[in-house]
Amino acid sequence: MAFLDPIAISKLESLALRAKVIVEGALTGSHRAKLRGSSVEFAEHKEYSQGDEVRHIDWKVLGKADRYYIKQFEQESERTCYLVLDASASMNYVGKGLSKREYAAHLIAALAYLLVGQRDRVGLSIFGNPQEIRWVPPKAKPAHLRELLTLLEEVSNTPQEGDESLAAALERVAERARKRRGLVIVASDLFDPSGKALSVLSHLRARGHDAVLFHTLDADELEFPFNELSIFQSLEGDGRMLVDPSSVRRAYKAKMQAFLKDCEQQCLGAGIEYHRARTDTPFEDVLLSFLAKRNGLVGSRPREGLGAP
Amino acid sequence: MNFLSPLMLLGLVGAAIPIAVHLQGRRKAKVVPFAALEFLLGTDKRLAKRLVFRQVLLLAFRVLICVVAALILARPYTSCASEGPEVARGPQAAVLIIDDSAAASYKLEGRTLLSRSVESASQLLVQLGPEADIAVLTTTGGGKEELTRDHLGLRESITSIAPTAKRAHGERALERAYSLLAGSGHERKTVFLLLAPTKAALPQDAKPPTDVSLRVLNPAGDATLDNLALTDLRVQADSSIGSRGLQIVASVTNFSDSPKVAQLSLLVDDETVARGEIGLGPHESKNKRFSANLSAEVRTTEIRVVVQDDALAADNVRFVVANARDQVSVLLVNGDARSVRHEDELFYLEAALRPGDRSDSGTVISRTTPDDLGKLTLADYDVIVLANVSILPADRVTALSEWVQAGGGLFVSMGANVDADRYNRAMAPLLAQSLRSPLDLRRGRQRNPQAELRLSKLEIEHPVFSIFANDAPGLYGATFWQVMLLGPTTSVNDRRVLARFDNGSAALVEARQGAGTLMLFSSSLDRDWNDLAIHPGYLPFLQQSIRHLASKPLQGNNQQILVGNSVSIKTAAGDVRLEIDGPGRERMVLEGEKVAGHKTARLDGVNVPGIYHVASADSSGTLTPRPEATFAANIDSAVSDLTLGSTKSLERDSAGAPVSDATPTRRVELWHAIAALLLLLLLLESGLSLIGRKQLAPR
Repeated sequence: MAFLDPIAISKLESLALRAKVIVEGALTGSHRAKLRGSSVEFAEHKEYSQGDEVRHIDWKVLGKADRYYIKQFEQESERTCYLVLDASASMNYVGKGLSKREYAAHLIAALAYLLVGQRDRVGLSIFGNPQEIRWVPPKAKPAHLRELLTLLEEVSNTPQEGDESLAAALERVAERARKRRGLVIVASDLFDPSGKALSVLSHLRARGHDAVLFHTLDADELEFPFNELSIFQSLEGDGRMLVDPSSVRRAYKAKMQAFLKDCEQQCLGAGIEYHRARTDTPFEDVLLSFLAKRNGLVGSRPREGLGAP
Repeated sequence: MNFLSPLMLLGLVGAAIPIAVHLQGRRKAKVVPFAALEFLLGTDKRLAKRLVFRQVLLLAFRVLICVVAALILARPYTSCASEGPEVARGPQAAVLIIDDSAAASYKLEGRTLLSRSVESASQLLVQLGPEADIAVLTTTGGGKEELTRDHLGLRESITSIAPTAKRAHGERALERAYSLLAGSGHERKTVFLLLAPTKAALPQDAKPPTDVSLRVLNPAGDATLDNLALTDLRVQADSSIGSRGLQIVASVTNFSDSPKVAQLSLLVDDETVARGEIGLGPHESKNKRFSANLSAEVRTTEIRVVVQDDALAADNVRFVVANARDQVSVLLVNGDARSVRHEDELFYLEAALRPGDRSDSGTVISRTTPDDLGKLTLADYDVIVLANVSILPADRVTALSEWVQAGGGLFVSMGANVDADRYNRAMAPLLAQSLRSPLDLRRGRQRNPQAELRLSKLEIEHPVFSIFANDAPGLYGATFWQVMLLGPTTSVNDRRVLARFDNGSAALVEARQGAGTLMLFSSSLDRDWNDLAIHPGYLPFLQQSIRHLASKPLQGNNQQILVGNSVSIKTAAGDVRLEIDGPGRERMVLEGEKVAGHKTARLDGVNVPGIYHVASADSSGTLTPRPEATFAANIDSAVSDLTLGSTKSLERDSAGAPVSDATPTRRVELWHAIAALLLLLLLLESGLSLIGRKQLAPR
């Protein structure tokens, strides 16, 4: 299977298209079938085609327009998905490809595309700047996807400011998802100075929410490939540090590995699905890994609420 | 700190280079926005601090390296108070003159001045460094006349220097040093005089050449060198205790600022025969007299006087040899012979020359008359006395004159038979001074005590009168009522008035005539013109006069032979070899051309004070002792005066300027040490860089 790399995908015109390409790329070879909703809430009209049930023909439209249209109803989803995108300043880091923010936005967009396509109720929380809290309540309307993608595209294209912690954002999500359990999907680098992000995510998990974490990191942050004497400037503060990279590489990588291991351990302990999303990894890989794990291809138990259609 | 090339200090601006490079490097550091800065801050704070510290340290080292390099080029130096070389290390020529004279054996705080000088010289060798051409000389003439860089050999030469009994000849040593340095091509030339700058050792007018600096390193430092010394020892006849009586006169000098008591011992043939004490004020010199009698059978006696030990042992003993006097053959020409013995002209003279008529008087007396004088062989006599003799025939005058010219001693006394004018005409070659007229102070035939003359001025230093005390009561008591006034000075050589009357007229005149001596006594030898004959001074006066005329004025061998000088030893006909045994049992041999055919043989190896015994061998090889040739050698009394003089008028620095009174300073060039510092800095910089690279390298 040949995947398009994230840079190539990023060159596509719109995020909607990119999300579609990502999802379709990931699902290439699978049988595609429309979900059939059984809810009573009218969603939209669709021109009749062979195979559609006759009972769904809108006779009133036939009478007025003399054309056969099928009435489609919004299917009532079994789950509510909360997509949480870290748009703090630390996600602005860009290495050789996309920035972490762009990568995470694409990933969230693909997931939104996928989930909305399944008629799941999909909400979106973009955090980072405490002055600008962006929250889209979960809805299952297909038109809702456009709203999500528009917001995501805006975030993807614009460098963000702020250092709001993931913990605060998740607490906000937990507050809003109090009445209805759902799937919480987080894309973040977890560079949370408070160190409480995974703890809050664990609390969500404990309340019955399903939690998925896309730990978004740039390859530079993992490998620390710098060589020249550099002044490293913090993205979320005024911290500066003159560093001879060769002198600190070993210690840095050790520290980073310990951090990653700790994150994985905490996720594993709390039942949080952990996916490392390197920005140089094709989106399809991450998505497939996610889907495979959700459909029980990886792991012992098929997950609910998300699978190949 | 000063600099020889201060312009090179401009190189200090080079220190800005590493600073600029450092700042430039900082400016060039790329700013990398980075999200995981916390991981850098959290994990590598210590390392980062270390990195910054290392960079600062490296910057400091590099700045220091530039500064130090500029300093080295500027050739820094400093001056420090030291008696060492004005400039330590570097190419230069130096001569070390070490005092090994008798004075150098002076012990100060348990160490001799020589050992101190040797230590200083060894230190100088180190301070001068291996690039220096050095020669080592001694003040007594030792050392090698060459400049060399063989410091090992020089060190051996220095440590092998032993004290001698000789006198220091600083001026000669300096001349040798200047001569050596004149042949050196080095710009810096220095003479180091390692000696106590006494007047005897260091002449004040030995100024160095303009291109030579002279430094005096006094091994005594600021200490004063007190010394009690025997400075002279003489022996003379002492008839008052017998015909073989001796008077030994030891001169003792206190060369110190405090009074001292000298305890002296007289040793005759190694046996202590007398002791004595003498008090001496500061810098005072006194004579101590001892008396001793020679044994009848002994021809040569070794006499030694010792003073108690002090810091300088070399001058605490002096030696002298007393020889049994040779018989003096005296011919008395009686100009007024009488049948009544006590009226005879020679009655008192004979009694004086042969006291007690003893055979050991040392004098063989012959009598004759002016008429019989021509029948005698004058060469058989050492001394002839013309006592109140009227004028002699011209041939006898000529014979006598020739005899005097050949070495004879003629004593002429006045009397009634002497006519001044006729004497001047006929006897002039035999007179030490011409005669003018007789002076008769009597009133008619009666004596007039108020008008009579007395001896008033004696040349006490002359051998004839040296045995008398300054007041000479035995001579000054005599009165003279008739004297011969002397005329104008004659053409004789070395005329000298040895005694005068209180009216200023001459009483005794001496003159040299060829190899001989003339003496003219302007009064009579009997009691016709004076009463000297009945005064105690008459006997020693005439004995000393006769011995003086016979060239044997004293009984001791008072020839002053000083250690370091050569000695002339009389040889006998047929001698082919002389063996001389020194005081240390060392034997010196003179033979071959040095002895055969010579009247004297020269001995150069007299280096130790003491008694030297001589034996001679003829062609048969038979060795015969020569006791009459035994001699004593003593150290030069000049070495005993250890009063230190100022050397400031003598010392010159490298610029030719006199050194100041302040503590001597020497220039120490610092670039060697700074170069070592530079090397250390380079090593540290390299090490730090290397360690840093290893420590910080990716693993």
